[in-house]
This record gives sequence, structure tokens and C-alpha cells, in this order.
Amino acid sequence: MSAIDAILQPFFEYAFMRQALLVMALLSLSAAPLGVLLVLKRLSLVGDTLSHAMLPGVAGAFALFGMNVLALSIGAMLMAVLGGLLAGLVARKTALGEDASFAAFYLISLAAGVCLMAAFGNNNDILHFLFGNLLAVPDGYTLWLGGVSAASLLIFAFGARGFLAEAFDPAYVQMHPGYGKFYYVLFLGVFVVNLVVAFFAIGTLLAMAIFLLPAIISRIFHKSWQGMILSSLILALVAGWAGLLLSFYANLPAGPAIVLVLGIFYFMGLLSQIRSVFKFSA
Amino acid sequence: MLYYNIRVTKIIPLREVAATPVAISVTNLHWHYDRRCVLHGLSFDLPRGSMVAVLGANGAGKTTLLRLLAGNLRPMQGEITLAPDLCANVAYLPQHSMIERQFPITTAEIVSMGMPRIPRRDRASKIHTALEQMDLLPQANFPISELSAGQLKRALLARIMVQGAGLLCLDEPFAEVDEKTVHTILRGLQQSQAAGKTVIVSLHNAALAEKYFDHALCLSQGSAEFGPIKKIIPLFTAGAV
Repeated sequence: MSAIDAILQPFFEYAFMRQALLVMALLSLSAAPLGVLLVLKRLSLVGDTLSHAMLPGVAGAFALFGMNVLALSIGAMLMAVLGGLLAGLVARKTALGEDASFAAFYLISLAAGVCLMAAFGNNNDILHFLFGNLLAVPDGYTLWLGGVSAASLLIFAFGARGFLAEAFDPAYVQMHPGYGKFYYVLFLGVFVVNLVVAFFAIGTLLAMAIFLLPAIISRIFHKSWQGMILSSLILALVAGWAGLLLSFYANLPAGPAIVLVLGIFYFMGLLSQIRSVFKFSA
Repeated sequence: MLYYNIRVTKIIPLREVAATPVAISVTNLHWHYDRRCVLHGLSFDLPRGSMVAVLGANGAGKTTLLRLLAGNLRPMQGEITLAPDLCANVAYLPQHSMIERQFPITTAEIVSMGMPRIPRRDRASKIHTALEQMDLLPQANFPISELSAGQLKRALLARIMVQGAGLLCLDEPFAEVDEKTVHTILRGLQQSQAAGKTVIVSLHNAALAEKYFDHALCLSQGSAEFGPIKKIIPLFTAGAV
């Protein structure tokens, strides 16, 4: 088998591989700009907390309605919003600060979600919700994901300047009559919806990786936000394709394999900067 | 003339003020941090279209007053009333902006953020004018990581200038800025004043205040003295306020 065959054949031969590649491509389209904004706004930990806060909601919905995609989505969305609001409130109203408050909510949510799943499901269900099931997404999921991605891209295209202004100088934007809190709320809304959609494919533990890792890697190289978004998109697409191949040939779970490829890109990016590290220490 | 409360929408009854139209009227304004009283019963009227220097030693309450005037803080006691057309039409530049120097945008993009509702085709000329006023045209397409502290300060000022606000509140915009840049900024502010805007700037330099400003507000130990610049500067330099 030639190298070209090895990298193309699984996608020609197996429908589930083609579907997984399409899911990754659609996810990457909206995850790229959202991830760049999350990194620029320094909201990586907040995003991670929202992602983990989904788990008790998913587990609760699973206990009540079984594997119903709509119920699971609503449960995930409600808990992500509630977890984010509560963690934000604690951060503002107590001496804990954002870092400690969000870390506490993130850990408690994860533990609560796993316990709920253990009580009402089995080990397979727990693994499914934690790491997703990219190779066997629910019926109609791709269509739903396509709609969410297209709507998110449209919102981003029309509101890019506002989102960027809000990420750059939130204090100024909140006082400016032309912005207010509109872009902050809109951004969080779009992000939560995308996070819920990503959860079905990648799981609550790793969903954030698709948003954050490509953006973090492109942050190393780019001095323009446009460059960051474009390279994030390319990185996510390449990692999706390479990760699926890794999963296929090494018999690994698809979501973690994709994140692992992104991890390799990340370390390659860091290595490319090694000269500046030595310059700094000299 | 009718005046609106700065935060609340209720209309405060008609009140006669000086012959000059008033931009902001402050009555019995109080503010304290825990036990430290910063502003104690301040009352003054700022004339519309004036350029007002807010003078005072460190800790005199300049930043607190500017934040109150800009609507960034609510008065603990007393009232701040703005002319109706200035409500929701205030631009504020804090002394220390929480801005990340490595943020991947250019100088021109910062300025463009000042006018979110202006169509793209009209933005370019406004950005050009503001950058020209702030002597930043050669740096228009520089990433902000390549700007000096003074250039970044001017870019943030240019963003405020294109905003079209009727009232500009600038908190010590000359910190970390060289002398040439200070004069560039002040000339830019004078152009805004000529366009009918009311400009309020906190600073420490009496000579600069005397050269560029027409009114001054001198803060000391919770009280304030407001008036034409020629009257206030001698009080400030003598430490009489």
C-alpha cells in the first residue's frame, strides 16, 4: 500500500470515517474564531469550566430521558450557563478570585457528573460522555452541527469588530454606547451552543481542546488576529484528518487521537521558538 | 435647560445656571473609600466646550472624580447632571488601561474600534484624520506590540476622538509620555475642543495646564476650587487649595 493510499483509503472505504472527517471540518469552522477569541480574552479556564459544568446536566438529562439528543443538549446548555454564572458570581463577590473559583466549579462538576452517570448508567456511558464518540455520532447530528457552524460563522462575520474590541479592552467597550455588554453576552451564547455541539463528538473532557489548542498554537506564530484564525482553522482541519488516521491504524479513540495530534503540533510550535527562549535566558 | 441624571433616566427639574451653557453640573458630591473621605461636598458647573484641567496631588481624588463624571462610578451622595445630549455620549480614558501589549491588532484597528456603528466606507477617512492628529500615520499598520508606551497612549486617544463623544474625560494621559508627545496630544485635544467638545483632563503640570486649558478644578483634602485657569493656577502652585 502506498503512502497516498494509506492516508486516503480509510476515507474512501468507510462511511463512518468520512462522516467523522465532515464532523471535524464543521466543528473546526466555528471553533477556530471562537478559540482565538477565548485565548485573546484569556478565558481558557472559564471555557474549560463551562465544558465540565455540562457533565452533570448531561447526566441528569440521561437519567430522566435516556439517550435523547435534544434533552442531553438542553441539560448540557443549562448546566454550562448555570455553572459559568455561579463561578463568575463567586469570583466577583468573594476573595477567591477567578482562577480559584472556576477551578473549584470545574472539579466539582466533573465529580458530580461522573457520580450521576455511575448511578444511572454504566462505564460505557461514562466514557461516551467524557470522551465523545466521533465515529458514531447520533442520527441528524451532522445536519445540526452544520447549522450551528454556519450560524456561528455568520454571527462572527458581522460582529467580528465588536467581538475583537471586547476582547481587546472590555472596560472601554462596556462604557461605549455603541457596544455595551451586547458582544460579551453574544459571544458567550455562541460559545456555549458550539461547546454543546462539540460535546457529542469529542466529549466534555476534551471538547475545549478543539477550540483552544489550534488557537494557542497559532498565537505562537501570528501578530494578526486574521492570521491566527486562518491558521487555527488549518491546524484543526489537518489535526482532524491526521488524528482520524491515527485512530484508524492504531485502534485508538478518535477524539483523544485528534487532540494528541494537536498536542504534537503544539510542542513543534514551542520547539520552533527555542531560540528566543535561549536569547531570553542569555 | 433640562438636565438628566447621569445614570437614572428621570428628568431633574429645570435649574438656572450661569449664562454660559453648562455641560456638567455637580452638586454636593461625596465619595469615600472605607474611612478615607476623598470628595466632600463638591459643587461646580463645567461650561460646555471648555477644556478643564483637574489638578491635585496624588490621592487627592482626581481619578475618582473623573470616573464619577464619566459615569464609571455612582455618586455615594449628591448629584452629577449632564446636558441631555451628553448622556451616553461620554468617552473615558483611564490612567492605566488593562491592555495586553501582545494583542494581535494594528494601530488603525484600535482607532476603528471607537466607531462601531459607522459604515466601513466612512471609517477610513476618520481613522486617517485621528491618526494624523495624534502623529501616528506612519505607525497605522504596525502591530501594537511594536508601539512605544507613548504611541500606544496616542492610539487609545485617537480611538476616543473618533468616538464622536461630546465629553472627553482623560485620566493622566501624559504619564510615561515624552514632552513632544504631550504637546501633540494637547494640540489634538484643542482641536476636539474647537469642534465643540468638552474636555476634562487630570494632570500634575501647572505650566501645561496654563498653556492649553481655559478652566481648572483644583482638588485638595476632599474639597475643590473651580474657575478660570488664571485664577486657579496660583492657588494650586501655592498649595492654597
